[in-house]
Amino acid sequence: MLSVTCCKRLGEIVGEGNLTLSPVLNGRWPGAPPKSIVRPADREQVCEVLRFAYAERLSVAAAGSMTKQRLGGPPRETDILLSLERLNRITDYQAADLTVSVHAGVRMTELAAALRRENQMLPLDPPFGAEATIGGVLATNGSGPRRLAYGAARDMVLGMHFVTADGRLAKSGGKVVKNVAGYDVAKLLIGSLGTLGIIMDVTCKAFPIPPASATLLCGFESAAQALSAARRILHSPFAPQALDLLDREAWSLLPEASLAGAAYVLAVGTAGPGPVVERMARDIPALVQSDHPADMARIAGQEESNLWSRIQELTPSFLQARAEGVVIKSSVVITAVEEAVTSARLAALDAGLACATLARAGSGIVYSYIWPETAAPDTLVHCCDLLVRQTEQAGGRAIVEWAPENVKQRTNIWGAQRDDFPLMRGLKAEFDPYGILNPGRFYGGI
Amino acid sequence: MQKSLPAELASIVGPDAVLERAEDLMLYEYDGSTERALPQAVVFPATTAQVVALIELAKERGLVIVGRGAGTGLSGGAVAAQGGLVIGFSRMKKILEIDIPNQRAVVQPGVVNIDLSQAVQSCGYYYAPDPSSQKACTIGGNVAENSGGPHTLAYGVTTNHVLGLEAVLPNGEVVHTGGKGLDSPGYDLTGILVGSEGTLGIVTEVIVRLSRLPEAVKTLLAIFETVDDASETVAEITARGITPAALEMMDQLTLRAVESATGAGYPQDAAAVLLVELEGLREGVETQGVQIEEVCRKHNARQVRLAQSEKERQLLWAGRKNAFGAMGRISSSFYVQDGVIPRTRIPETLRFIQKVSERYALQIANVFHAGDGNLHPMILFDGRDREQYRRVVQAGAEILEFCISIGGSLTGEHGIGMEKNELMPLLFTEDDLTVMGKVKAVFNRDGRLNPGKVFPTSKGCGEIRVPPQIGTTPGTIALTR
Repeated sequence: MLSVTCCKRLGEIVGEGNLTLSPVLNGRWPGAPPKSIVRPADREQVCEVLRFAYAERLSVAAAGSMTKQRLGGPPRETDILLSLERLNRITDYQAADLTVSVHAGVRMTELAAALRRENQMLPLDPPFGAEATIGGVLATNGSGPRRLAYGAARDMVLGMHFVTADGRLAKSGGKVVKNVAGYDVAKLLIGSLGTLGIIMDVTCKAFPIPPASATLLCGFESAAQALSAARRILHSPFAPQALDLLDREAWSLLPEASLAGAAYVLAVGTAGPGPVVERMARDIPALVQSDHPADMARIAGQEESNLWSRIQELTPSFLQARAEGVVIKSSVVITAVEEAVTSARLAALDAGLACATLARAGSGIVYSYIWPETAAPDTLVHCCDLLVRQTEQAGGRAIVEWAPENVKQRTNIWGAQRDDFPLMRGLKAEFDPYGILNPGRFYGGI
Repeated sequence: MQKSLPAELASIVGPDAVLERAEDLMLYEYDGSTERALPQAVVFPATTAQVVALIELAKERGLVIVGRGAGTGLSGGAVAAQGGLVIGFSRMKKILEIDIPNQRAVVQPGVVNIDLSQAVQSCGYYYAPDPSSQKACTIGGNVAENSGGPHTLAYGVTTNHVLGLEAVLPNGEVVHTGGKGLDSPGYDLTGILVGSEGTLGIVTEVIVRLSRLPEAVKTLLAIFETVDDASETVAEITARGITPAALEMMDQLTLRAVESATGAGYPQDAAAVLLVELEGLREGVETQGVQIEEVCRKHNARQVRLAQSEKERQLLWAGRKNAFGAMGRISSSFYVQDGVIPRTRIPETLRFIQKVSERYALQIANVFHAGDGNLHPMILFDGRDREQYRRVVQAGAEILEFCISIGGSLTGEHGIGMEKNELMPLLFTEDDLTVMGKVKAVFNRDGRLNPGKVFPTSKGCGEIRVPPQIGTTPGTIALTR
């Protein structure tokens, strides 16, 4: 429990109506709930809260919509859950400049709606899209299918404001698309799970919505054929928006009728001016003929956007369906995707576990969804360890992105550290010397 | 007895890779900027192990270290502001690996930018970030400055194409950040190192992303009777969400110099031209071409010319990329500025620059990456006229202040270096600088890597350095705010 003095002070800063003591958080928070939820109205209040927390050595976890608090290492006792939901305005949208500035607590859906009115978009496509806030997306480096064409958060963020552990407001970058003034501290904050600072607002590039789009679905008998086709497309001048591979098990998690029965489906997203999309619709099927697709379909319009929404939401769908399952995220090179897909599948099946796979074939990111059907709980832990190790031995990296608490506690979710790890520890020590920001939840136990 | 420094250096890199005689050091006193300072010695290691040994020796001797690629930088990044040891990378210029199936290359920092693209061209690939100095500048330098170039409008700058680094820290430790794959777990150390201007580590290997060459390229030259028309065109192209691969502007003064130097067919009587490059599938290039022409004509373009051959296209680009060099034909000296503003504010910024030019009685030529809002006003002057030179620096500072006041930044691509470090407080608060200082404390605690760069050396309001010119003494001009 927080002390009376602490409660009083926090109440003074944000108003007693914005302070909840001993909250009950159903399912969205791993382990014992934080001792308080504090809901500041603006940056100044955030700074005050942090200044106070720093002085009193209170631990702080930033939160938006709480969709991803189960990511990363389990939290230790948390004194303050700092909700950024009241920092929820789009502060500066310059459509003619293709830049948009928003508070961290703005939901992705709200941002998307505002951009759509100007025929623009932020093609980040992270999971939990219905509720996620941009602050949380950036803090977890969320991304989706269109990272192939547009990159991820680090390629879209132009600048941000953040609050440090000791309550200073600082910024990195600015509002313009070319900017090399000062260190690119925003790069450190992206994906840092709120362990270096708390993101207050961000300026991103906005992108024009392409006039036309269509998706080609190609069914294959084997991962080898599907990925050979993917590589052919990647090395062609066609520049697809997305190139996602799903196995039958993953596909069955999406309520889609087309191509039911294919062992592997390669979803090729295409977009651009009408003639470009038509050209790709003609030429891509021809290109992949030598990889013997068993089946092909072309979808557009609402059907297309539904499909990609569901692919984008595969991880949340899985977690909802299989609470006892794990999600392992591997990053490998393009030519190693096949090995990553097949060896994960084999390892899982060998251990009596079930496995579904989604691979961003052009980006080398593989999501292995593994859950126990008949196997003992221990098996899942061993499988995680094995897969992470195998990926590392093959030259890639892997983390256990999502897992039940009892599995997380018994496996090394972050994989091995490398020779740059001391620098990371050094940064944490400089930015958060008392370890009050999400201690223990980040890479390597930082 | 302790060996002399040159002897110690020679024992690491070999005697032919050490420069320490005054007449040799003078060649390394300067870079592409107007800054100048003599290092104590210059060395050219051939391996990472040699770099480590050099850095360990520097640590032992308390020497500061400055990395140097080709010395083409425009903010004094490679100038040994506080003397010390310059580590030049011209002997570390191997392309270590070309991995086309994975769209990656691994290079030593001394590899020249264009050489990398040329090495993978026959495989249908290239390295996208294309600074105008790409025939000389090195990948290592590009990493230090987070270099841009005309084609970064569509494809991003250096940091969007660098996936991993090998770097040596001031204590001699070698670290490897990132890798060939994306999303390396942990903090994005590659991201913080790129653009750190040699103040956080000495990079000895770079893992880059290679890009597929486009199917079709179309280069258009749009000719305008007024600068306003050209800049309104840029604003509208941006607003309409048409994204060319490159969108460059040059004004009349620049055109005269460029045409005289290159004979590419630039019209010398136009007020301004836009050089537009469209890339992608044939159909996409066609569509964009029609759209661009429409916008140009809407803003009274006198002519929209399409380059008819690869040769013509190369000439047009040679003209643009050699703009700085060509200025030498019309002025003995000139001061290249680097500012960036929101694209929709280009018209008013160019009008402001015109006013500055009139007020200070200085000719200012404009060439820039219009599509990014990254401008390069070139202020012409007579290098022998000290009074004029001070006015040049002041005019430049006013332009920069204006850029910041309308939401821009201090530098779009040339870096802060020692040219603009004292101006950092115009853009950053004390808290902002404190945070950056924390990063520096982790990598470069005793400040021996490229000291005098990026961070202000004096407290208080921004003062601009007047870099040394022949016959003048360096000094400062306080800015009015």
